[in-house]
This record gives sequence, structure tokens and C-alpha cells, in this order.
Amino acid sequence: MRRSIDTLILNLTFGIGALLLVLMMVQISVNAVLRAVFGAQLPATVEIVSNYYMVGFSFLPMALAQIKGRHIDASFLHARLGNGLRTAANWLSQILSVGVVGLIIYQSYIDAVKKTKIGAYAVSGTSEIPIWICYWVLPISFTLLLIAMLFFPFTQRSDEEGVQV
Amino acid sequence: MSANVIGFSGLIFLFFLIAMRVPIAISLLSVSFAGITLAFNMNVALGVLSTVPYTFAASWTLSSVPMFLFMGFLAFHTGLTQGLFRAARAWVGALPGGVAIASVLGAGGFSAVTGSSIACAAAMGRIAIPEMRKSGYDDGIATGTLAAAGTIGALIPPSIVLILFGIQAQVSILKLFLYGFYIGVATLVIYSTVIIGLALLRPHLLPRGPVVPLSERFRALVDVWPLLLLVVGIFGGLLTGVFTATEAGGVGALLTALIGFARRTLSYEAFRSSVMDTLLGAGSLFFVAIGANAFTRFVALTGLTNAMNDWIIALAPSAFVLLLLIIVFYLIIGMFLEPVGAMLLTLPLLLPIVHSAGIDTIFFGILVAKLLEMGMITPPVGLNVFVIQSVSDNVPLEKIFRGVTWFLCADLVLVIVMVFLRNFGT
Repeated sequence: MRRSIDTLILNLTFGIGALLLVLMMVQISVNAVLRAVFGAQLPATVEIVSNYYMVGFSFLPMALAQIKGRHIDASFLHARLGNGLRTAANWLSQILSVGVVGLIIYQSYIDAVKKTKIGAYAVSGTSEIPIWICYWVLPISFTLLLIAMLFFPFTQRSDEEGVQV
Repeated sequence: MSANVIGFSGLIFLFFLIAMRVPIAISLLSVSFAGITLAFNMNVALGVLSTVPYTFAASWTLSSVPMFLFMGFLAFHTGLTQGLFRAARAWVGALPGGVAIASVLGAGGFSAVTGSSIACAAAMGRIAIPEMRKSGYDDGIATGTLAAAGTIGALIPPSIVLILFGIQAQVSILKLFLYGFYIGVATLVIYSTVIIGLALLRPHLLPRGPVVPLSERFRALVDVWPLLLLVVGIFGGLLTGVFTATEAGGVGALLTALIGFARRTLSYEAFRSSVMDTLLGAGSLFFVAIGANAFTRFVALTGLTNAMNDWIIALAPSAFVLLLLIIVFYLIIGMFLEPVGAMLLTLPLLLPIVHSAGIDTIFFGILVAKLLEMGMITPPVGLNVFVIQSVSDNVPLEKIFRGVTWFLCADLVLVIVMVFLRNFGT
């Protein structure tokens, strides 16, 4: 089960992440070149980069970072705690993380439903860019993060200090 | 309970959670949510959770972070940075401590395509440490040099720390890049001076290399011309106003990919590794940044900023004393936390104080980046030292920390000079 979750999150994050990264790189560059050379711009670049690529790219990789143990923490004191205290500290991380991420899922789901109902959009010049769909990235990404937290919990993390290169 | 008491209690609880190794993002979000709920009610706290993540992420300026990360990883995985050390060694290898100076210069070159000091230390360490050992260098000096040289990665643009500072403090990223470049080059110069001094005092620890013929020196440059082209392309475009600091990341990543494609080094494996490294980097950075934004709201809503302002003004009557306190504070916090986490954690508290003391924000940003990078090589948690240990066949940590001491002293001198030359951003 753990391996399936790992593979699913890895492939999903890599597939969508690579697509968003390449699209963002190309659109930003083409827009900059068009502006510098022809004084023209691709329509709605700022709105699309901000709401589509950046929102996707910001939240989607969080579950992968959880699986790979890459969320930033400070292990200086933790590594020096006795076994019992260290376990208690790991459980504190786990409970708080599940609680906070659960709250974000709840709130972002409510927001996504609200934005979908009103058909939220961003205005670019005279055109309207629908962005309600982008609000769904949050509950989906944070649910993936919650799944990653449950299957790859802080209670099983490595106690070593160090850096992954 | 008054809002101020909640603010201070939240701050203490935040440091407790971080010390207990609760992820920094979760610590910031938990304290902010609980604090705002206590000070107001749960609806206000849920409102913060509702607005902060999306508003933070849906940002045009922030797009430069994944783009510059991608550019750096692409440059590394397509081998664009491989010839840097060899070229630098061909030119300066014959100087006293020449191989060590070459690794510092190599790190300086690598810094121009990466915004991370860990990546810089790891990449240059893998190449330069074995070469320094072959040349008879002392292990402590070789590893210490590379650990310190890595810190230049977060000063010379593009710098992820400086971009995030610019977004958080709402100041020009181009200006931060410009002054980051000056301090990065100054660091490079003082590190090279330290090496020459050490080599003159203790030549047996840093033996001089052979003089390389001029033809071979130019041949070594052939390997690095694509990197030079990339750096000139990006910074030329930036400084001439062809594109903005935000766009420079996208253009730089595309240029790197095109150069890799032209040199036939952009394999699927290189692309996959670059995307994965970028995803992991962004995934961890943005989570902390979202937590820091929520914490900013908590600090403002509980009035903690004003209370701390009064307290700090009473403690530090002048901007100079305040700066000294800030330096000591960041040197201490840098000993325990990694730079982005430490910066995002502390800016909500310190930025308003720095503003009201009339300290130039650009200067403050560069100072914070420099101090936190010094924290990357100070015990007990010196991430660059850990990285260098892992790429150097496990040279004892104590030995690396000892090797770093000279560079830390030089850094302190530079920080003092910076304080006397402050106001350079205005």
C-alpha cells in the first residue's frame, strides 16, 4: 500500500509538475521576447502564470516533499532527546500536521465550492479568465499531503541530523 | 487574555514547537491558527487559512523561484557547470593556495546559475575536494574552503533567499540582486585573500600547483563558454531592461535547456532529475512561506509588532545598536535553522522594527542573507558542513568546522564593513 501511494504521488507530481514547469518557462520566455522585439505580449500571461501554473506548482509537490522527508524542520534538539521524549515530539508533529492540514482541506474545499458557484474569474484587459477551477488545486493537493502524512508519518522519520544531497 | 499576551505566548510556543522538530510550516500555521482563534474567534482564523495560501501562491513575482531553481538544476544535470573548477584551476592554480582559490572561484561561477548554497557546496565539493587532496592539501582546509565557498551561492544572483526576502518585504528584487552580487563578489575576494594568507603562512598545508601554459588555459575556457553565454544572456537582459527579474528565471531556464539541447547533454534523465529537484525544492520552500504569511497576520492582529517595537526601541536606542542586536540574533538563529526557514520565520517580527528604525530594507535583506549563510557553516547545525562531509568520504565534522573558522572570521569583518557602509540601497 505504502509503495502504491509513493508511486502514485511520485508519478502524478512529476507528470503534472513537469508539464506546468515547461509551460510556465515557455510562456514567460515567449512573452518577454515578444514584448522586447515586437512590443506585443501574449494575452493574459500574468493571470495564467499566477493562477494556473503557480498555484499548481506551489501546492502539488507538498505531498512528494512529505514522502521524501524534505519539509524544513530543525533537528538540533530533537536528536539529543531521550527515546521517550523523541517519540512524544514525533507524535506532536504528526497530530499538529494532520490537524492543520485537515483544517486547510476543509476551508479550501468550502472556498473551491464557493468560487465554482460564482464562476470566479480574473480580468485581463477586456477578457475574463476563469480561475474558479484553480481553487480546486488546494483541497486536492492538501488531501494528497494528508494521505502522505498518514502513510509516511513523522513517527517513522529518521532521527539522523544531516542533509540530503 | 489580552491580544499582546496571546502574541508573546504564541511566539514562545512557536520556538518550542520548532525545537521539538515540528516542521516549521506546521509550527507557524498551528500557532497562527490557535492564536487568532484565542484572540478573536475561529471564523477569523479560518478566514486567514482561506485567503493566505491562494493569495501567496497566485503570484507573478513568485514564479521566479521555481524558474531559477529549474535553471540551476538543469545547468547542473546537463553538465554545464562541470568545467568551472578546471578552468579556474588552469588560471589561478599556480598562486599560493591556488587549488583552493580555484574552488572558491568555481563556486562563484556556479552561484551565477544557482540560488542555493547547499547545491553549490555539494556540486563543487564533489569535483574540487578530491583534486585538492591529490594536490596534497590538508583535509580540514580543503573541506572548510568548500563549505564556506558554497555560501556564495545564496548571495550572487539568482538567490532564492533574496527573491523570497524581496517578496516578503515588497522591495525591488533587481536591487537585491545587484547588491547581493557586490557582497557575493566581496565574499569571494576575502575568501581568496584568506587562502593566500594561509598558504603563505603554512605552505605545507596548501601546496602551490604547477604553472599551466597559456594555450591550455584558453582551452579550459572552451568548456565554460556556454555557462558564460547563459550568465551574460540573463544578467545582460536584466540590466538592460529587456526583461524583468521575474522573467529572468523563465528565460534563464529556457536558455539553459536550449544550451543543453545543443550540446546534446539534455537527456531524459537530466530533465527528470531537474524537474524532481525543482518540485522538492518548491514543495518545501512554499509551505514554509505560506506559514510565514499566516504568522505575519497573527503578529499584526495580536499587536505583537507594536509591543516588540516599543521593547526593542527601549533596548536599542539607535539604529546602530539595533543592527548589532540583529546581527547577534541572526548569528545565533543561523546556528540552528536553515536560512529560508529562519528568514521567513523572523521577517514578520523584524521587518516592521527595521522600518521604524529607518534602516534601509535592501541593506537589511543583504545583511540577513549574509548572516544566515554564515549560519550554514557554524556548529551545531551547519548544513554546508554536513553536505561537504557527505561528499568527502566522511572527513570528521570537527575538522571541517575547524577549517571553516578562518572564513567565518573573514565573514565577520565583511559584516562589520557592511554595517559601516549601510544605506547602500537608497
